Amino acid sequence: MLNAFWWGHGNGNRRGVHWLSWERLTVPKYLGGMGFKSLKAFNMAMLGKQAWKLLTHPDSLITRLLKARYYPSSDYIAAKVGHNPRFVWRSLWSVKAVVENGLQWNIGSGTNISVWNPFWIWGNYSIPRFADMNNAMASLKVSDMFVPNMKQWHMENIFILFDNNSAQQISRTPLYSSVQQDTPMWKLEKNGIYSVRSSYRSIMDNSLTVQQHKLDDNWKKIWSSNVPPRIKKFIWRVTRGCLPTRLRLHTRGVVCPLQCPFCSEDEDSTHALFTCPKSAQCWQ
Amino acid sequence: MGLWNEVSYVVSNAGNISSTIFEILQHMQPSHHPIFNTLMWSIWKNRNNKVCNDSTDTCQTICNRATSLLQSWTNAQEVKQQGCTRSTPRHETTWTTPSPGRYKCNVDASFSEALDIVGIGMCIRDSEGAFVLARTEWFSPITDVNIGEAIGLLKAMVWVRDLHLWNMDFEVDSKTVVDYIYGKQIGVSDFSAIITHCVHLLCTDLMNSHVSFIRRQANEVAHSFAKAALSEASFCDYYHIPTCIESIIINEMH
Repeated sequence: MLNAFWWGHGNGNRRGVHWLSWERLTVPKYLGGMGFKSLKAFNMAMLGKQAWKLLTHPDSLITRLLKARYYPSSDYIAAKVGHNPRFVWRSLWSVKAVVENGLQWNIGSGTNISVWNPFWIWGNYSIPRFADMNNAMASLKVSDMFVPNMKQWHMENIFILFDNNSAQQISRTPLYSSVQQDTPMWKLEKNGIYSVRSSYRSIMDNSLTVQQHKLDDNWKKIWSSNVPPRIKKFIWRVTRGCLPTRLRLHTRGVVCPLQCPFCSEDEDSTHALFTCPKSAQCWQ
Repeated sequence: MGLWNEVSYVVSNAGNISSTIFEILQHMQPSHHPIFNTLMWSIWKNRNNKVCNDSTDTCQTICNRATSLLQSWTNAQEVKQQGCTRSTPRHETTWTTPSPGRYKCNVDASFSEALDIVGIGMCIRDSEGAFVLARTEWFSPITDVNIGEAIGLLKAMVWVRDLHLWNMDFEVDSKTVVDYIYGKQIGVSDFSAIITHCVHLLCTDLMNSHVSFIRRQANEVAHSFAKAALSEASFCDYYHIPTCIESIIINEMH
């Protein structure tokens, strides 16, 4: 429907030619689309905000309710969709990947974060679990790896406990004495608070349709150009090959002569804008 | 229009239309981009006029339409912008001395991927612009730019507090850090925690101090000092002018 609005300029009931699919239009402007909001992705971003609250507001009524019903002994990240779930929970559960994508634990005291929690090491790394783990290992906290009474990694211990790669990744995770509490933060925003905007962007950047339809040209050159918006849109149409020249119209099944209105050659975009004698004269 | 030279070369070995246009834009002088874009639009409009209304314009008319449209649009934009820019303060590009009786502390951070460390340079000068004290520090591992700058400021504040220099003007070249310090936003990230720590110091021990933003060009002392910090031992205090920034300080005194 949105697409019909964008392309449809026919009178009355006539449908305009849809030169590009809606998926192609939702691609961000710098990748060659029009940057229209993909409603599905936008809905996911907004659902993500609600799911995010389950992590940041553990004492709210809805969090306690959902926890009691669906994940009494784990947390939102580890929760399963469960048997016969409510629509609300199914929706919140379905955006887990979105939440995980932006989740990062702030290491404060480190006493509340398990070492096996995958979201405290910088750079999307999680320590591989050992095959057979005793209880002491399984309940290891991040704070157990500090130098006693200081906020510093105890590198000797870390290298003894874990393989080299994991230890290296831990040492690259910064610790700040200003951070007091273990809190989840949204790493896509500087202030750490979930925002639908940043979430929508990351969903779009990772989405399959964008990967399929993006075009890696220097689109910034067009959109940042200092001309009226309608000119920019026109140039965008030309470069996306949806200028209704006669050759293009013909491929879409419109019956019309193929010749350029000024000369006798076939009319395609390059001809109409540059090589037609009339146009060439304008450029000179 | 005189653009044919720039256009014809690409068009003559034409690929498809989009690569043609991107290539032309790539090679054309940026100042010609607006007129190039507008003229394409104007040519197409002429073609549509011919098809729909059967009226033909001369080349002169096509070109004039493009230039006049562009001209009137640019004029309108200029008027609009004049209204906006008046309210925003201009930032100086040269360093200025603090008001009499006050000190000024310039802070900057530099980042080295290779060494995996962040260097911090801080330099205090008095109201004459004369060198008072300086310190370099570095820490590991490397961080995000904003966090590095914020930590730099925090370390400078702690240092200044321990020196008991109460009348201090801090200057950093990170707009984000200054905006967050005087902004109302509260966050939960590690960056916010560091900023909150800075604000806390400003409200308690450093009541008479404030932080302001300066352009990077005006923060050259701290900038080159932060670079030097990368090759120093972790803590270095300087009681005499270090050679690496001597000439800049003397220049800025006048």
